[in-house]
Amino acid sequence: MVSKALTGASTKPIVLAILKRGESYGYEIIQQVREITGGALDWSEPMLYPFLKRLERDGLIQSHWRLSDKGPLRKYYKLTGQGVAELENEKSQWLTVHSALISLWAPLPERR
Amino acid sequence: MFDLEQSIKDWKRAMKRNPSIEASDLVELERYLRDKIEDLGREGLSPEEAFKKAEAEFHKAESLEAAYRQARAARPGRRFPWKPAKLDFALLRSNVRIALRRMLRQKTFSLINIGGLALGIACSLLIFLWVCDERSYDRFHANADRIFRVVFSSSDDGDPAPTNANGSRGVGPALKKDFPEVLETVRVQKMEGNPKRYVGYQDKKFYEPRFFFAEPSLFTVFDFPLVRGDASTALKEPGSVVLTEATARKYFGAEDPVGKTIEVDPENDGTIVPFRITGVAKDVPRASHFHFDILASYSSLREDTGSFDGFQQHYTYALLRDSDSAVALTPHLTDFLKRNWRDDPWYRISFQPLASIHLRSGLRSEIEPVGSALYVTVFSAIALAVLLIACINFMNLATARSAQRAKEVGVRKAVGAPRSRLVRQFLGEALSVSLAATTVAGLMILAVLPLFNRLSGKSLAAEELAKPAFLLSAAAIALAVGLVSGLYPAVVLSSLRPGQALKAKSVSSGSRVFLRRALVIFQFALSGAIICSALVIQDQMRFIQSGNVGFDRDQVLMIPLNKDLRRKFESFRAELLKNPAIENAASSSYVPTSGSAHYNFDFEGGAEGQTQVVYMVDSEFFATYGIELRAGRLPGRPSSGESSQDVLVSETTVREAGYASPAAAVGKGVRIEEFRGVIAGVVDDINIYSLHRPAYPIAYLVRPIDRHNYMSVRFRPAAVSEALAHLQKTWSTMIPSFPLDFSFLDESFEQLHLAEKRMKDLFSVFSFLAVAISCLGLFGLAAFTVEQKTKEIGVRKVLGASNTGLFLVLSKSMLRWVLLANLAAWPAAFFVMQAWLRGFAYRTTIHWWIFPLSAVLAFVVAALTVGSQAFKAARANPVDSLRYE
Repeated sequence: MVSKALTGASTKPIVLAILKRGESYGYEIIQQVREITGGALDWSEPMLYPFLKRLERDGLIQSHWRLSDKGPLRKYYKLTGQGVAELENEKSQWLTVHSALISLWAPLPERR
Repeated sequence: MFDLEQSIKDWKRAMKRNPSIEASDLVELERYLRDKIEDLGREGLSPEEAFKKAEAEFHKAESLEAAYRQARAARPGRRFPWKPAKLDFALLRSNVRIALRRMLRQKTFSLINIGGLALGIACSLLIFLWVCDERSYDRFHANADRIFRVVFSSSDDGDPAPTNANGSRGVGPALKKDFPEVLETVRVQKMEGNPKRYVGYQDKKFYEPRFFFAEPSLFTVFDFPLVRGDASTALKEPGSVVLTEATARKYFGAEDPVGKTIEVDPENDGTIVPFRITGVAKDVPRASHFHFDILASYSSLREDTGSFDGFQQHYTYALLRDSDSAVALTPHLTDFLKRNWRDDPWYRISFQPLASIHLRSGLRSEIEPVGSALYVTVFSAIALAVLLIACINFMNLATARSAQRAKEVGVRKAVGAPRSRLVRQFLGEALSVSLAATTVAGLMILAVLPLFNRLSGKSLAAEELAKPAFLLSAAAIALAVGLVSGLYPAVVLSSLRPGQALKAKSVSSGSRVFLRRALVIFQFALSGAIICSALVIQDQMRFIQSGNVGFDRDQVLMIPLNKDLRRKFESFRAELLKNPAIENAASSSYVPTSGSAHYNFDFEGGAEGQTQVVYMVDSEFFATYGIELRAGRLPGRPSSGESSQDVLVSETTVREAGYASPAAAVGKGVRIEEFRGVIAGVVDDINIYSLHRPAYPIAYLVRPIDRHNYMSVRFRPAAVSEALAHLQKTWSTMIPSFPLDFSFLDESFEQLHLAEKRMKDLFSVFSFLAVAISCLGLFGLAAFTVEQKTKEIGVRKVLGASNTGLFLVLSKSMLRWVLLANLAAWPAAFFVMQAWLRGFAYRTTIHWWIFPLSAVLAFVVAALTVGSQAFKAARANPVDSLRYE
């Protein structure tokens, strides 16, 4: 189980990355996360919605309601240009941390 | 039995208790719940289990509410403030479709809305056209801002303010000589005494009222282009004359008049002088303070044109180097007069800008009657008032009907429309209605233009509406009206809470109803004020038309004298009197409204140097005009050719001369330049000018007919046509070589008050329109109220209420406010009318009953409006109304 802190910190890049693949709605995002992480991330699912609202307020995503004949009224989200930039930003931050940790965790060369 | 939908409903109700979770958020969360339940159901759980599990997720969420609150409180992101929100065309298109559908469904309201606004906008635009026209006078001259008229002041107390548009002849050339800043001067002479001069060519003989003498510099200073002839030489030689195109057509048809000769009687004494035509000028545009038909060369004048003595019907204009030269030169003018004339405290000159002649002149002896800046202001105010009334209508109707839109607002908010978007939507609707109304207004104006021209005395053409200035102001008005009328309803409608809105309760919240009532009161107060003013104006005009001017003006006509008539006057008069339709006839140098000559009088035992108007008359003058004697005696008939010493004076003269009473003045001597006379009698004051001015002091001298210019004929009031027929027959027999040109004295008086008459007419029309628009608004409101109360009416009817009872119930409150509005209007109307009446030397009193009368009028109209709706509702079958849902 991933700690709460890490779960929280990773929400943003995960959501942005999922939306980069294409526009989506709340429950679909939750399903994708469950698939990808195999349930390792224990999200309190309804909390995604205020989070999405916050992202939208920050200008990273955009929402619109869609009523299709196939399905009921849903609020869809998609990435904005700013969101794409922000995703890259997050990505570089995570990769920096990741490479630092990887190099630290690399097995020490055996002492002969 | 587990009921999924019921559980979800209960869950929703519980969620709604969180104030931070908005309606749209709840929709999204519900969707999550259902998706989750569906998903769990696919995994094999029963609906009850699925629901419980899904709901549990919400318990896991620590504080959904706090999260939403934080999310909302978070500062809006780095979206730059000036980046406009993306225009969503799909939304726009659907909004438009919905709005159109709604409008078509409620045709009456749409009609009232657009109709009322269109009426208000049409009124304002018409007044705008009128004001623009008034302010555009004399601007067509290229040098307009450097042209100044030299105006004169002659006051008995040395007050330097200009009093006369006319003045002395010598000033022009002297100014040009003395001041290098005066580049050029133009002198224009109007005819003395009777302005009409006989002009003839072959068999075409007319009296021309717009005959002037002018210097050749007229064409360099002003822009009166010549279509034939050379502007630099046309008016140089004595005996040359320039005609306008219309005049040339009148006398010469399609022939070229240049080089031909016309005959003129310039001094109106029978001497026919030939004038050669040297040019044809374009007709003078309407927006000019000075219109001429015939211009004769100034050099043809036989008088001394260098004298500074006295004021004649003479006008001087100057072209200065730049527009501030006038201010720079003004301090030097007193010395200038000292140098060229003498140091005379009662003789002053000053420069008047060309552009201010039409609206701001207020001087005596203008070439033509001028307009007034006061009327421009008044009409602009009315335009604003009418526009305001129309806007208020719109606002009231929109907010009153907000209950009908509440469901729509509720749904929109439920799907997350931010308030700003709703405000924009409603503003957009208001703007479109405003735009539509403006277009309709444009059509209304086109339809009404001829009538308006007739009322206002202008000749505005339909092309004026195509001019960019007009189109721009129409667009600006449409925008302003849309914003002003749309903002308040937009704010009100967008603030509806979805919960309340979706229940569609009527919008009877206290503050909103109060504002609506306040607006209706304001509307009717404005209309009431306009009605009061219109009544007062009507009254004053009636007073002027029929007021006592000291003589009988309804039974007199005037004929300009000519050589033959002067010669045969006695026999002509005798012949006229043979017909009983004609009561009397006389001759005089002037007649009321035709102008006047002023002289300085010294009174024995009284004041010296008093300026008096002088009429030279014959002995029948007083009887013909019905002027009553106050003291002394009327002049006897002098033996022909002799001048009598008798002088008759008016009551005002007695006062100005300082005599104790009319009786005291009789027998006193007077001196007018070289003439010495004796006051034989005192007569009633008469008004020779408009009733704006008090009666002038007039002295009457009996003189032979060669000093006279007019014949006045008094006819029996019931026998006008008979009198005219007899006059024409006698004229054609005895005076065949001159055309008969007569005018009625009362019409002449009306001309003086033309501006007021026009104002009266326009005021009546606009007050009618203001009330009409207010009533439209009231109609709409009443219809709405009735609709709201349909059930109540049905119930009352079933319980046995009578039709009148119902009417009272429905209209009581509304009519009460209308009455209140009128009370508020009275003081305002009173003050404004007082100020207007002060401009008249003779004025009617503002009768107290005008105010209640206007209140009654407004009340009756309002009652009819509201009543028609109430009546319709009262007649409805209660069964239908009670079924109304």
